Amino acid sequence: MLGAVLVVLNVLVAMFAPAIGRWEPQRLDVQARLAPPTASHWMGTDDVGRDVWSRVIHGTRLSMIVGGAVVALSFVGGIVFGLLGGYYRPLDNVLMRIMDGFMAFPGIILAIAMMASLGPSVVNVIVALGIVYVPRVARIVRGSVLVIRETPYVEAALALGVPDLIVLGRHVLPNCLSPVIVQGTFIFAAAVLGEAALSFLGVGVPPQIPSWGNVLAEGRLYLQQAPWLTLFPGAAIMGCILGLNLFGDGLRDLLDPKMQGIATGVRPS
Amino acid sequence: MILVFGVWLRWLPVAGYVPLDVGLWPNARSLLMPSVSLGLVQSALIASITRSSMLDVLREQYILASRAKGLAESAVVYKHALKNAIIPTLTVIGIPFAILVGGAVVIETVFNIPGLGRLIISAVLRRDYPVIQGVVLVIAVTYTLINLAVDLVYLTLDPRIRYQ
Repeated sequence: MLGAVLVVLNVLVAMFAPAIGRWEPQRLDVQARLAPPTASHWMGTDDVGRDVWSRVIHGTRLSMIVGGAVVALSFVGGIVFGLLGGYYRPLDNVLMRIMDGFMAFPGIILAIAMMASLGPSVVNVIVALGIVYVPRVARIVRGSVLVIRETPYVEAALALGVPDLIVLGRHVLPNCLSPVIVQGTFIFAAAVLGEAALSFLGVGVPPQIPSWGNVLAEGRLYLQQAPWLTLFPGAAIMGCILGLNLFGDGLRDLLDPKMQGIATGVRPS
Repeated sequence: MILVFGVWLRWLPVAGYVPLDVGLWPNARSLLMPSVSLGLVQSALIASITRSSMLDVLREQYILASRAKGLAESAVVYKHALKNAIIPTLTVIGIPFAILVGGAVVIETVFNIPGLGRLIISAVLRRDYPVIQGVVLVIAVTYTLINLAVDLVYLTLDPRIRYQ
């Protein structure tokens, strides 16, 4: 319940960011450089006088966009590869070895390596993180397809002469979606964390775009004079990840009661 | 942590790495915060898996039998229950153990530690592609070897597991 509340809150903040933000995230108030939280700047200002509240709120929007797009991309790639690998046995070895190859790299390292060749931009962060999570979805889908393709209703559909594409789309895919949907919440959380990490390291979204990672990276230099620059974006990241993890755990308990109580949560890539 | 222990309390250095040849204590002090911040996240995952695994094992018949024959609670928990509950935990320990190799990138940057993570970030910012390739290769090989080592540890802990 708390997870769902936090997730909905983040989504609402992302949707209405310009209205809630009060200030433009790029607007400079040079007179109030490194100002502590006040009535006009609720979370203080950064080293060039930009409003931290506004930058954190707009960062939420970026994180939600990146998280959603990474989940969509990893689902498309992972479901296609997983369905093909699980259903067509000769393809399985080839596709899964490619997936194993991707999984041989720690997620963040693979994303950094891809960002090095693609260059810093929001789209490239989505592509890099999406590719990182494709193998995870593909493995889950493949595992479910291996079981479902042996079930009598799939055999019956094949015996009736139903084309493979319809068997896959109408009979196999809907039955292997529930573990993937649960995994989607954890991938969303990992993507939000991954985007923040890449931006923090300076290889994610360009510095002028407000993101949690960028705000944190800028604030790190002023930890002693202006701790609010790191505390507020840090709290925003924590609230979002906590919400997504709790929501994912709840969703898994709902869809798979056997797994109740076994927490997994997001693992840093 | 940096704010509390480094800036406010001044107990530990805010950043930087002190080599071992300078002294064991300065080296340990410089590594304490990075190690704790890297390990704390993984410890939550390991604790929750161990807990659920222990709860399952403690409901088994042989645990009831051990208690019925009058074994001390510590012997029941540590000798009989934990040994069997540790297998699923080990599966999970393997994951963060390997993830730490990559996860250190952010921590090394935060704490200004001259490790592989910092090297790859500085190489990316300088567009030094040979260095990026080299570091990614070294990390990928280490990651794979750690996973292999964890798989081999399963064999020794649970003789029922056999690889073809």
